[in-house]
Amino acid sequence: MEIKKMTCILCPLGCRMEVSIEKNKIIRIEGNSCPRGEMYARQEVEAPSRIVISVVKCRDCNLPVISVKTEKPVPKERIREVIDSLAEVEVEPPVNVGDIIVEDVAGTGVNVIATRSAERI
Amino acid sequence: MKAESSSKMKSRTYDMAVIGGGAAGLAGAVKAAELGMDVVVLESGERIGGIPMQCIHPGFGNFYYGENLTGPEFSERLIEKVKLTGIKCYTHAHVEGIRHVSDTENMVSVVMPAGITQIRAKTILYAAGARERHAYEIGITGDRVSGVYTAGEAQTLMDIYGIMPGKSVVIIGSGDIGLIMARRFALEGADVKAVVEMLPYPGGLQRNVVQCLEDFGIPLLTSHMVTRIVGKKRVERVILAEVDESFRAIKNSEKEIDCDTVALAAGLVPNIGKLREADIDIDSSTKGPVVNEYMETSLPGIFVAGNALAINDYVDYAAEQGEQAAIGAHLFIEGNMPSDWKPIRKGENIRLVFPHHISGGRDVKIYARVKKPVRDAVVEFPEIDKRVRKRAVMPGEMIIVNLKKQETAGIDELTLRCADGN
Amino acid sequence: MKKSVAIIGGGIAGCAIARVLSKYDLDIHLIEKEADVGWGATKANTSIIHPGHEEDAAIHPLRAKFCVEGNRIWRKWAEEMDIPVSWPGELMIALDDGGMETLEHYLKLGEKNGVEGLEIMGREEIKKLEPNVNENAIAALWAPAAGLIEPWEACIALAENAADNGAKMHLNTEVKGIAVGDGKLRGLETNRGFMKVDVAINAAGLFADEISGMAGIDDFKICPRKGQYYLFSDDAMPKVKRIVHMTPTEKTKGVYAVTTVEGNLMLGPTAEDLDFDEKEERSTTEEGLDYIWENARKFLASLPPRNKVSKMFAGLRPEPPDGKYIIRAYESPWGFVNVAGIRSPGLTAAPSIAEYVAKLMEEKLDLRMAEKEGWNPFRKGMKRFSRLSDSEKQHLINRNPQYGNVVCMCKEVTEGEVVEAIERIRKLGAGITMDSIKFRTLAMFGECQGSFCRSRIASIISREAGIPLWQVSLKGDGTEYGIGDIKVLQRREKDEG
Repeated sequence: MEIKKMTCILCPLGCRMEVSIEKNKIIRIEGNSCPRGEMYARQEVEAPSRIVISVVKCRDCNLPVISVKTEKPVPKERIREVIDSLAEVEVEPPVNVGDIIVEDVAGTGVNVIATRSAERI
Repeated sequence: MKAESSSKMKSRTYDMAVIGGGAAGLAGAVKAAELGMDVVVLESGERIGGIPMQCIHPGFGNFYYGENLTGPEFSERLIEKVKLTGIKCYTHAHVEGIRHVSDTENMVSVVMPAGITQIRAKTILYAAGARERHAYEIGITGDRVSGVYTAGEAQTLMDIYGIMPGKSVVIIGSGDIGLIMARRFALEGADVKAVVEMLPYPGGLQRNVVQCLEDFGIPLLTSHMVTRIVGKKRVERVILAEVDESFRAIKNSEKEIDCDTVALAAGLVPNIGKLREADIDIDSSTKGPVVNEYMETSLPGIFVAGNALAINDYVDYAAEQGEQAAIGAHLFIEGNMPSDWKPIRKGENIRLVFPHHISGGRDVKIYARVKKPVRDAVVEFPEIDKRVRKRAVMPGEMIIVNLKKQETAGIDELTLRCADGN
Repeated sequence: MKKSVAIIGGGIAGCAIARVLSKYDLDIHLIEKEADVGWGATKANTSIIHPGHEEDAAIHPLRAKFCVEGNRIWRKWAEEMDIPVSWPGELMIALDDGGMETLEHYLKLGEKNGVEGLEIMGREEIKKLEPNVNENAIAALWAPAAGLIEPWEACIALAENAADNGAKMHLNTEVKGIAVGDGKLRGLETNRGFMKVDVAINAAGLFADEISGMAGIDDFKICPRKGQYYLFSDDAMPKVKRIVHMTPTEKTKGVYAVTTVEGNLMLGPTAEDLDFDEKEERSTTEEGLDYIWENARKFLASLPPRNKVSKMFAGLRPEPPDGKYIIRAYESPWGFVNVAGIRSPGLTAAPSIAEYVAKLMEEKLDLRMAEKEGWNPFRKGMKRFSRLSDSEKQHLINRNPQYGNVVCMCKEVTEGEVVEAIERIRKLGAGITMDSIKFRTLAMFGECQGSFCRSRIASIISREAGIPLWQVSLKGDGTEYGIGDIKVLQRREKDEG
């Protein structure tokens, strides 16, 4: 049995929780003070995911880089790959907020979109 | 702007001059324009949009737009509205001084590439944001070397200019800005050696402790302070010490961390230089002006919002305050500003609270911070028997209390306190 | 053929010498190892022009003479070269009877040195001159001739004026060796190659012993003495109207409180003797800063809160053996001149030292000191936008809209000034760094200490100097703003696997 320690982030209380896992299944969650804590613990153990943010280079733009984000959270262990693949990207103006910059980034099935607009110089 | 329009500006009297084109200023300008006011925005930087433009992480807009946006997305929405409403915005417009000529006339001296000019306005919304505390201010000694940045400056370098400040980083301060910058550095491949916090607990949201530090295995050193920065040309290492309860370094607790970069997230201070010269009342706890519920300062017709008013946790609050100021400016011009004010006082465990005066004539939102963390807290206004229970309150997280109009009827003053609920 | 003279060291002494020698028909070369002039002892000191009553002519005849003369010459030079100065006068405060005796002692010294206007006064009179002195003060020696100067600006002014008059500037140039043959100076080995010169004047400050050693004269050592300071923000109150300090001790003139020419309260220095090999040790320490604070409280009625400190800094002063200036032209090697150990009151003394050196050249080295035609004593300072009237501001912006773009909000410095500074830096052959901009424009000197404007100023440097933003440096090689383009670095890392 494996015990995973985590802190709930859903309210300022920050409950310290212990999740007992056996054969990839959660068998017990302790330390939470509300049902939302349990939900959070499940999510974090079974499929932790995060929105990834970064910048990408712009060519012929009024800005050297523009900010981007993944449209949806991507699996936590794929964050590095997402950042790595963004290193190669160079966008050209004009860019509008919400434009897709990379489709299906690093095979995650998630698009990377612009969070800032840019114009041609 | 051309010289001819500059002379036109002189003869024109604006309803509201907005100083600062960030979230508070733009939200206020848009609201004012919607109320039919003639508005001008004066932004000292190259572009409007303010600091959120370089805060590329999500967490913005949950209250204001009901959506989780990144900083640039939040600002771009406001900019879009500014464009739609046709509000005049001047960039590279530096305000040299504000003169409160009379209660219906203010003169703002502005330096712009088009020339120097005086802008006459019935009201002013001062929304110049905050500045970051620097290494000297918090007493860090040592060598004067490169590689020391405030968090905001590091953010500007990375997210506006696409430049990597350094590759092994120590962050000073575990407020949200410090935590978020730790992640930002780690995401782009830097080795974040530690986040150092003087308090015995992290200053920022739990969410950020988990997602910015734990996700990347970044150590958080609470009850520690960086006492020295050491290096010949660039930072080579920092010296840390443990601190006692009164934040004094404990002898022989020193240790070293090798790094080439120090990012300082040691807090923000409202940027009120020009207002100070205008001689308004300042609250020593917020370090910003004393205001009523319309964010009006002690000088009639001069309003303040956002981080120039008090350091806010969320840009959403800054935008809300901007709107309140616009509503207030509108009332002021119409001659309908209330004249009777009830003070809101700081009671037990309240470090700061604003607005400082309310009219009792409508619902208002009260922003406050506690001095010490409390679990199972009761936040209350004893005079009116209003109680709000909170699972936990932390100094790093603003408490919001919505006061209803009817709740404050017949009361002369109110005191906010925060006690243990058990 | 014109004789060529190298001045080693671009501090206040070296620059003053360059300026004075530029009057004559000589080929002048100023050699400085840093990217700009004035970055050694000059940059970090108390910025006082002393009247000369603290120098004992019986022990230090040169120091006393140069100090009194220097005070006089600076008045003229400041006018000629548009250098910001103020003349608030100085109060030496006695806190007890021992202090009273000290006041009497300095009054006598001063009168002997010919210092004018000295006067011992009681508490009532002190309060009239300086409201911010506390009740501990029983008496004071008032020296109305004391002044304040912007030391780095003075140094830049001297260098610019010398360059205008034909002196050649060699920044980022370090002397590595001195060639001597047949008992005569032949030239200098530098990191940029060999320079053949007839005369070398060693004004290398902290490193003057090392330079002197290269010429075979190694009979002295220069000890670094550290002085730490507090500088307060523009709005920090209360300030002081006068230069105020306690009666001096053996080692130091003690902790001073001054309001700089720029209008900021400054407290300091400490006097900490370091080892000979600690000539780069410019760190501030908690102990040192506490010492300043405690001492300032002994004579000041009140101090601003500590969070109004806009910066703490430390400088190193070159301390010669027994505190004696070493100013000498040698028989062997012929052509080598030491101007070493120029400790306090070096800033005050520099003009007089420079004139003395010119005389040495004529008398000891038999150089024909013919004044050249068309020597220009005048130099115009930087335009400081914030100090102009509205109509002057408008006029300037009309001519160049960059003067309407304020980049440093705390000190109200415009893009136009930054560009002007860059042009001046270029003309001097100095490095275009953030520090060289800072000392010329005062940008980044204000309340925010550059957290808002540093990136803007770096962008202007990047544009004007044609280098990537991250390569813009704080103060020369090894102090770059960043390490590279984020994405380019990542691509490289990926390639390297």
